[in-house]
Amino acid sequence: MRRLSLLWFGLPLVPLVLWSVAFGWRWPDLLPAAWSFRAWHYLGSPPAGLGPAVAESLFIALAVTLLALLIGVPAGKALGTCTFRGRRAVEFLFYLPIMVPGASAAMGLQPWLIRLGLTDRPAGVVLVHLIPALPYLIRAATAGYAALDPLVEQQARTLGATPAQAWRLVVLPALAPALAAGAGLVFIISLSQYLLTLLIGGGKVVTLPLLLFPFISGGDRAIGAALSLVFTVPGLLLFWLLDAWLRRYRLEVRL
Amino acid sequence: MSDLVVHDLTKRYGGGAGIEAIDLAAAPGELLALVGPSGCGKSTLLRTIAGLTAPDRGRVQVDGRDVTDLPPERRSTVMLFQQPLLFPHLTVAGNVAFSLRLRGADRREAAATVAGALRTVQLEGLDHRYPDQLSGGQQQRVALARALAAAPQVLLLDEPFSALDAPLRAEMRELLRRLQRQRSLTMLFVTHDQEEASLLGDRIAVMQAGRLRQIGAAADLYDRPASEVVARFFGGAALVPGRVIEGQCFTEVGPFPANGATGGDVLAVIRADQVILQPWRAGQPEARILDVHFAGGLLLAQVECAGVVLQARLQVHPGFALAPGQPVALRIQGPVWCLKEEVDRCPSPLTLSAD
Repeated sequence: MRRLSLLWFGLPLVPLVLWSVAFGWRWPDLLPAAWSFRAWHYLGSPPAGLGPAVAESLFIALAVTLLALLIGVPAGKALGTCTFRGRRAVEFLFYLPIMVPGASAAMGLQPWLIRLGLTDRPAGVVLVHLIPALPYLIRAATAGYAALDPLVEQQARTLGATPAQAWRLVVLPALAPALAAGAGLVFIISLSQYLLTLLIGGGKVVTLPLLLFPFISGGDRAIGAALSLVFTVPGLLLFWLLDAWLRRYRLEVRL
Repeated sequence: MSDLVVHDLTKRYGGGAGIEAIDLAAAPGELLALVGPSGCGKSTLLRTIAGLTAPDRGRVQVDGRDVTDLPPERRSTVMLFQQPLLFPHLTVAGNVAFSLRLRGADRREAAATVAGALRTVQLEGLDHRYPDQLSGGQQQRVALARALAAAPQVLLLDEPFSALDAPLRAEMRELLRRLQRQRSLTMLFVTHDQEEASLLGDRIAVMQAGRLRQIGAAADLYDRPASEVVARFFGGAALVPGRVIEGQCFTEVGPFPANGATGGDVLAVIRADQVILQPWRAGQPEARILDVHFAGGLLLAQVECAGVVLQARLQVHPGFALAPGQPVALRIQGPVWCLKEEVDRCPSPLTLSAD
């Protein structure tokens, strides 16, 4: 099973690896005619701007994930455990961004963000990334809370836990799989935003997709392929981190 | 001094299951069984004592300390629910040590307490298992061990064995009795099963419709129920309307010496062991057998006389034939406990039957 999943994950990457080191690869050749590390050399050089872009991407994605958790967990608790008037309407509003393209929302928001001085800065980009990402976290947290028996928390309380202790020691471990799945999605969604970053970042906030796009559309396949490979690393890293976190609670990542 | 005192405790809900002006006290080491039909508010009472539900009115004292305004974690009460509610990510030892970990107990002391608690519930050697590797009965025992490890002043049990099957339930009751003797722990045990209440409780408190109806030893409640509700709840008795005149109660099934009420319209609580059946001879008032069945070394017969249905308990070999439809002679052996007829007649037996 483990091997199969490795194959499943690794196979699509093979052409990327080949492209990144190919020097001319024309039909009908099975393998590139010549090899070169030109693309990797270029990415390693300061003018390519890879280091800052990776740092910017990670910073923004982490900030988005953190904010989404801060907003999404309480929202999920309300939706997953309470029944109140207008619950369906609130739910609809929360999930609306999945249906409406984030770009149209961002277009409408842009004048406001300009007025608030949030454009061309990572802060503004973080905010607009929340639009497409937050619904997934709310959804995951709602499911997590709905599956959790409220008596479990009360049991912890009568055994002597303060509300904070009960949350950390009992509720959080129970929510962990759902939150890990939601946070993983949020991170990946933020990481792969191109249009929103460009619109609100104004080209001054340069993340990995912004770096990648010109090479794919501009035709330098080798550099594009090498960048795509770099692009997979944060996602893998995240998966590994989440897995390590869940293992503490004897759980596995279920994305 | 009492370990647990509840005074005027009231919690009203829109849809019922609230409690109304409950006064209650449990002595140190006492096991008080709280019995009543479902929805009578007994769980609400327990939750209010535990601090999981805020009362509208009234006080709760634990070990002489007023805890009414304290959060659940500072009351030294631990609640045991119907489900084990073990924490799935912790081992058996981790679950039992939960409260010790919160208290910051040192490792050696915690290990000793955990081992002791697991020995008490006879689950030594399972420390490293996870809850999903245990049977339902084992899980409930771990939950009990976890509650014991917290060393509460008062242990609150909300029908903790009702999800187990009958043999396991009997075993757990035995365990609880033994535990009470060994540790002299004050316990409040909620159940809807009057038999369980009689088996476990030093005293029994009967609740109905949010109110405490009577509290006393099982024999008291059985011999001298204070109300129709209690009489019906403890079963095995027929309630027959009658009138008491000078110590004699006159009913459709004949006169007999009365106890309790001294005059007026009453309900006579005729218990099965007070109904004597004899062979019928011509000229005697006639009763008819409706049904007969064995019940643990005795015969239980249902008898109809002048439109009143009574239960009778007899030796297995009464010396005469007993069969449905057969006429018998019937005598009530007094004195029979008589209740003053209440103005607000109690709810029908239907609402009282435990579901």
